Amino acid sequence: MTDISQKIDRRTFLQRLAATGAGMALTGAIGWKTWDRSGPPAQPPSGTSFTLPAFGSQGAKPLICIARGNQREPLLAKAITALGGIDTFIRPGDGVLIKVNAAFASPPALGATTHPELVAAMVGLCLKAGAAAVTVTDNPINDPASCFELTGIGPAARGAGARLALPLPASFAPASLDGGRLITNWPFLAGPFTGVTKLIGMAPVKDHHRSGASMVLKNWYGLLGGQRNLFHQDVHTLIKELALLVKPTLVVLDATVTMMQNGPTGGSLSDLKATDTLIVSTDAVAADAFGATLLDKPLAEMPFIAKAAAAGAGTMDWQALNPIWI
Amino acid sequence: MIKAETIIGTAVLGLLALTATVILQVKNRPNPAVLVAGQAVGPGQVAVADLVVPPQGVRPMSAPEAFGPATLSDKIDGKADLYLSAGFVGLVTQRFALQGPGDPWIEVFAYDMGKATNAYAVFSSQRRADARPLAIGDGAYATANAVFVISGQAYIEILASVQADDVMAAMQSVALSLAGPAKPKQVPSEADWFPADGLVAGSIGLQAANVFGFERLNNVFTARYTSNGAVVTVFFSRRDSAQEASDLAAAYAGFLKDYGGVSQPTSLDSARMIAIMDAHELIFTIGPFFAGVHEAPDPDTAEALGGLLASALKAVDP
Repeated sequence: MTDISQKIDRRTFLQRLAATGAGMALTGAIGWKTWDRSGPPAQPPSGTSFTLPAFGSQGAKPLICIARGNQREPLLAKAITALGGIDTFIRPGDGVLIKVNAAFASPPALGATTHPELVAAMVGLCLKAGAAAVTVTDNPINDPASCFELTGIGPAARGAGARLALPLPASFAPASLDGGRLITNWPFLAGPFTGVTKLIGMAPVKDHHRSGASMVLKNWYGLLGGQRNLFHQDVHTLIKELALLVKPTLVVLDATVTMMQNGPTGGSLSDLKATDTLIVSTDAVAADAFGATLLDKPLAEMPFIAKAAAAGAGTMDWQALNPIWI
Repeated sequence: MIKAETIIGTAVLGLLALTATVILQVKNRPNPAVLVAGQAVGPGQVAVADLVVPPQGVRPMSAPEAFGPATLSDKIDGKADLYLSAGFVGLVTQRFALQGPGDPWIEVFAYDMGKATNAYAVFSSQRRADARPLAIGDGAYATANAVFVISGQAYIEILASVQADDVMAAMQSVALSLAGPAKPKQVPSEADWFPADGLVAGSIGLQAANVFGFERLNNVFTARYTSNGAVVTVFFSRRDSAQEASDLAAAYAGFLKDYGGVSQPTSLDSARMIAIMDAHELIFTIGPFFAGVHEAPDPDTAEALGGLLASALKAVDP
């Protein structure tokens, strides 16, 4: 052990001081060189790639029901019955994933997110049909926990017997659309799909400042991770690719009230209009094409619908599906 | 006499203290690329937490969150474009809990738009049809569940989870604490240049960018008029020179024709009338003003309103 009381000469002191200074300078230089000024990326794609299966009935004629009224729960039940009953879509033992729009931490009354009553009703129908498990998920724009709680979706889903799957870093895996231009090796909310055999999309009808409208096709955007706001530069192509990538069992488009302006966030009750309609379909493109008729704007302002239809994701000629009106 | 070793040793200790100070400063400096929550507020941003004096019974429900141009869409998704194109600088939001049935809450969005005209642009372009004017700040209105305010370069939204009288009172109290009582001048002076006859009250607005779907058209004042039973939009934009206004008018006419517009005769001097998609677009220039009538139902209505606007703009000394 060094005797600290031992005196050192001037030369030794200066040598040690120089060594200490050099060490400090080196440490500082390394810190400066390795300082990541931009911070970590939101979700770097990593791990095993994820392939999303088709959840719809391959080759079956698409179905659509347009139910008129303003009471969400009975409307959903009637529409599902009109399409053959919940047993047509959900079988005993199925693992069901419900993709809601919980993008914002806003109250249900503002119509910016999937209404909790509708979520609870769908969870109940699936469990009644014998689903082994029902999971509700989304990767919201805002803080996930706040979004699920303040929208009422979280309490509604749990209360009806579903499990909530909040997005965690480990929930994402890279996914690609075959032939896709934008969705290539992109972080995808894969975790909640584990054990899932049926997929249901549920979204409100909203004006959207960038894409013209946000309905069931735009709702798949919430399955993406990473710095997805980059896609806003070519949002119509992105939605088209999502329409090709995600093939749901069923979609539910809530237009009991429609956000006519200032979307997708809205904020004022006066942004909403009672349109008294609920659309249930196996064809997400057809559902959006009908939903677009409620927005008081030309279809040309929502080109993602035509793009998705042209790419073969569904039909925008919803009338050709002989919709069931109730 | 102080030994050299003592001086050097003191200097080393000082250097270490300086290094620690710098490290702490860097650590506490917010990085807008990764910041999604926290109390950090960057230069130029409006700090809600610092400015709000919550009324009795109102308490913070969440910490303030700060957003910059790179992260705005993390909060408001696709609506970010509206603000970014109008000069957005920063946003601070915070939720407040109120007392009452159903545990009501409000959320305050305080946008720093860089300039008062930018704040006016996002305020006026989103004005709701059922707006009820409020005597707050440089301009304010309420709807059933929300309050919208401009104050200098700030645009403030206060949104409630429910519609209730006591919640509205709390929102107005918060708005007053942020923006103060009404100031004498509420809108840019250009808004006074619209003719008064037939003007729909509260309809004057400033569109910042991509007006009528035309990318080159920005900073356009619009107003709605009632004419022949129809509600029609008239507009003008003051450009830097008469030549720029003229070039813009020609470019806009070309844009309309590219999308199927067809020229039609008009009796208004130096004006163009273009029929497009069952509507009529009238455009003209007066000095540095590019002006016109947007989507009139028929040529007569377009010419009548266009003539009124032209007379009003001729009286302006730009």
